[in-house]
Amino acid sequence: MITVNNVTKQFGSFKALDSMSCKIPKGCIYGMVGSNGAGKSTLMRLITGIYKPDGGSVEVEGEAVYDNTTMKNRIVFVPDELYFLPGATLNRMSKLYSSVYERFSYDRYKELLGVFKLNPNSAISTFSKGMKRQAATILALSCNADYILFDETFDGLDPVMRNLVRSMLYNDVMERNATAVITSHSLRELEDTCDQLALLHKGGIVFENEINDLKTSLYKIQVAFDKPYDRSMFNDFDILSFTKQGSVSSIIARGNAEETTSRLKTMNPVLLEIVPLSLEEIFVFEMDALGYEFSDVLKEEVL
Amino acid sequence: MKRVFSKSFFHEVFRQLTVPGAVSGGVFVLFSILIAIIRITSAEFGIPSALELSIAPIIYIYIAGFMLPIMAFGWLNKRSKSDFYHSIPLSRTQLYTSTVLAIFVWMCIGILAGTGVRALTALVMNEPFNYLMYGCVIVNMLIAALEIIGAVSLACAVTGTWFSNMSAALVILFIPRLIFAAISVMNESGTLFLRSNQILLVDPSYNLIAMPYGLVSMRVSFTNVWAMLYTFAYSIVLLLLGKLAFKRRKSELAGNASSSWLVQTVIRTFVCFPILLIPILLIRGFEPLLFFGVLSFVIYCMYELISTKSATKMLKAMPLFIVDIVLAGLVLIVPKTYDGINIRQPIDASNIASVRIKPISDGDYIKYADIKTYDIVITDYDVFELFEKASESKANDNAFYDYEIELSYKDGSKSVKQMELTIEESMQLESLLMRNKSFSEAQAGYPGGRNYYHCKGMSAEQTNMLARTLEKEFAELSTKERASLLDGSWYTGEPSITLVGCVGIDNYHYNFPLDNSLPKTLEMYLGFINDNEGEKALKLIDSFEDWTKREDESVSYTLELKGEGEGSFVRISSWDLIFKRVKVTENPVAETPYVDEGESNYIDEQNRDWEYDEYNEYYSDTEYVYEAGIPAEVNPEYCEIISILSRASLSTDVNNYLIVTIDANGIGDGELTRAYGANYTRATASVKLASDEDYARLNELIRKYEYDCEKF
Repeated sequence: MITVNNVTKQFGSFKALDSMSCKIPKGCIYGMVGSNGAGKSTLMRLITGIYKPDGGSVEVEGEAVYDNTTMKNRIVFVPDELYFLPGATLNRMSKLYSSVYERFSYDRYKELLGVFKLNPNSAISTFSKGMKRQAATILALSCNADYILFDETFDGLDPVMRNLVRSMLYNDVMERNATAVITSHSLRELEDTCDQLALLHKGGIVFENEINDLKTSLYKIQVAFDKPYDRSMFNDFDILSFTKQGSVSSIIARGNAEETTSRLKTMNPVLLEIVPLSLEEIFVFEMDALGYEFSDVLKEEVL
Repeated sequence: MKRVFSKSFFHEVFRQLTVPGAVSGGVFVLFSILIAIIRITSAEFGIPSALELSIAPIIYIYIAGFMLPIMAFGWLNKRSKSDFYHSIPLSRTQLYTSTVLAIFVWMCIGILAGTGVRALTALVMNEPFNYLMYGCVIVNMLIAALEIIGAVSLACAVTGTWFSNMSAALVILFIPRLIFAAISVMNESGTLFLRSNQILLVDPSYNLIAMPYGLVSMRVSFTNVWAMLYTFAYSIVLLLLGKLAFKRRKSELAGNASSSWLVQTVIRTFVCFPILLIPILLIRGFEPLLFFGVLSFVIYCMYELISTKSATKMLKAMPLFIVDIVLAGLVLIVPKTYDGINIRQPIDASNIASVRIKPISDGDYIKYADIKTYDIVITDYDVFELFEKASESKANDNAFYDYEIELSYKDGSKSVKQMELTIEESMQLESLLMRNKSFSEAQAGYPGGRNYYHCKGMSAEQTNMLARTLEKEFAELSTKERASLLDGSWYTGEPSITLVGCVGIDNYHYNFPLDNSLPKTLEMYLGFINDNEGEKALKLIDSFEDWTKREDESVSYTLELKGEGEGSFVRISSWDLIFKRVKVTENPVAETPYVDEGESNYIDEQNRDWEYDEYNEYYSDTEYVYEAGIPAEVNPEYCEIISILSRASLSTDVNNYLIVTIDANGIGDGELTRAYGANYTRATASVKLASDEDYARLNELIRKYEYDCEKF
């Protein structure tokens, strides 16, 4: 369990995190999404012990991480801007990792090399952007860490490799009960990968929930009646949005979909259809409900 | 241990430093070999001094001491690298100590390899060498390496760019010592810090790396244990400060000028401070203060601009230049306040039980007797009083002699002090000490350390035989004669035998003149020169006429006579007889040469009496060829000297000998050539003239032309 409690981090006059709190349960894949400067990378660096919080605390399994070598041995971090030793090959980097990570496994390293089909004796500097990220992924996953943090996980990877990385992450989470924290600008990528999702904005978490809950908690109902009606007819329902065009209404509702359907059926609609929402649509409506303008928070690039 | 040091990360950093570590160490090794070869092949005979031996390692330490830490801690200057290293499961302490140790090990390898090769070369080539003293130099170098690593590591910990790393390192290393030096220079008596050996922390010779070289003359304390301990302790302080700063350092500092506004202000203030001190320290005047003040301000601003890349920050920093001005003002005012204050601890003669005295030499050598007399305990109250008086007087910049004295007090305690005596005080001390029998006997003792002998023109075997004879003959002399011979050992002429040696960390040097006070040694010497070149020298005397007729473009024939004889014969310390003939040739370079007659550079002042005409031709293309000259008629008296010598025979008679050295030099065979010494030959012989008449006539001729003869 990662516990971020009221954390503040400031760089000069810029407040990267402002009293942020969240809890990341063990054994899950936790996604963070947000625009540039939202605080995703800063939060990751606080969790991995690179930064020391200016206020509040970051704890992993109840222990502070900063300068805590025991805990840091259980955490591996792949940053957005990758670093390799000058002129190093993957084998050279594996020596560095194995010298500092107690649980680094050469068997796992060789296995992952086979999966990603990278030449361990080629200079990493000659690799493409995607290959470098693969190399970093191989090294990170070979550490057999309990907490795996990927910043901009899929940046530069082609769709095949994205799936491969995704499946590797799943394996670690499933087989070793590892916890993965990943960030991305893309909601769609996180939608398929994460168990939990947090939306960060201006140094705080705007919204956090489990993906399954999110996906099932909001839905769109298209309904029509052969009699005049308006929104007041649905006052007993938990409605986030109501629009009517002609006799057909589109309703964004929260709650149990089956129960809502049964209750609507008793109202004898001429048209009744439940349409699942995409994650973006869910985010739009949830944030609207919270009083945020979605476009301000995630902007174009995120979508 | 595991909590502060990571063996695996140490190996990792060590591996990362392989290229710079091995290359810098390798260059140092090659440099050391080169220096050893130059030293061994040079004409100079002697034991290399500690200062000479320290030059190559010091250069290495300055280069590697900056390069290796800045490379090893280079990751601190880039955000992505800094984040990576701070993310790995190592504490900041482990990162720091492992890196520092890896750097130090590489520097130790470099220092030991370079100095080891130097010592090995000396051993293999049988070069006169003081290995114990070199050991002290090496220990000093290792400590100095630690100091420079400490300073640069601290600089890296508080700054975040290469530029600010370097600037901060220079400030940390040199500014404190520079301020002490500046204060001392401004202190008229010069006693405040520069001569205040009793004040450990500010003794300039105690810090090998940060000594204000060139500002003042000073000794280098390679063998002073206190100096080593001081530098070591200072290094540890720097390293601990570095560790503290590193532990507090934020990863996000990477790429920023410094860790805080205060640190940035301090670095900026002191980066330009030396410029402000230039007129005070080097020029010793206030007129150029405005120029250097403006220059200092420009550097102040430039530093802020370059390090922060922000014009706004530079503008904000400008008013704080006042701090520099205030500091410079303090450097001017503070020493004046203390001027005239005697900061030396006075000695109370009545409390002293005994004293041991060792002169300190600014040169490479001290007398063997002075080394030995340090062990002699002096209980003469007059000596105590002399030191008491000297300790009360204010030190000054006039000529003085330095002594290291160990005072034993009546209460059983001891203290070591450095005393400065004026010439008068020093002479008085010497006469007082000579009243001590052990002391006066020690003054006549033959050097008994590790001795190396050198005798010009002799083989190693011959030199060895001469040395053994000299030692035996010396032992047979009276105390007075021995003391006299040792006192006159700074004789630089020939014939002589040179002795260099060392006792412990001290070197000594003697040049014994070989005259008939050492008859057996002299006889052996004369025999050896005749064995080596006697016949050749006689042939060269016989061939004098041939040399005068040679068609070379220039010919010279130099005769040097030294000797001693009975009666009125003169002892000639050096006397040259030169005949030179230069052939006029066409000028191949330019059409219209100009003539600069009587170029005095080519006429040795000592040979001006000879009929000797020459002029030099210079050509418009700046290349000139010295080849013109009008051959003088050979002086008949000159021919007579040669004639007398040609009748002489080889001899080893120590009471009546003449050492003849001939340098015959011919250039070219008619073709224009600029080669010098193309036909060079030299030989020496000890001869006896054929008759008393020859002695008388030669004596007469030499007196006519001599310039440096003295009555024997």
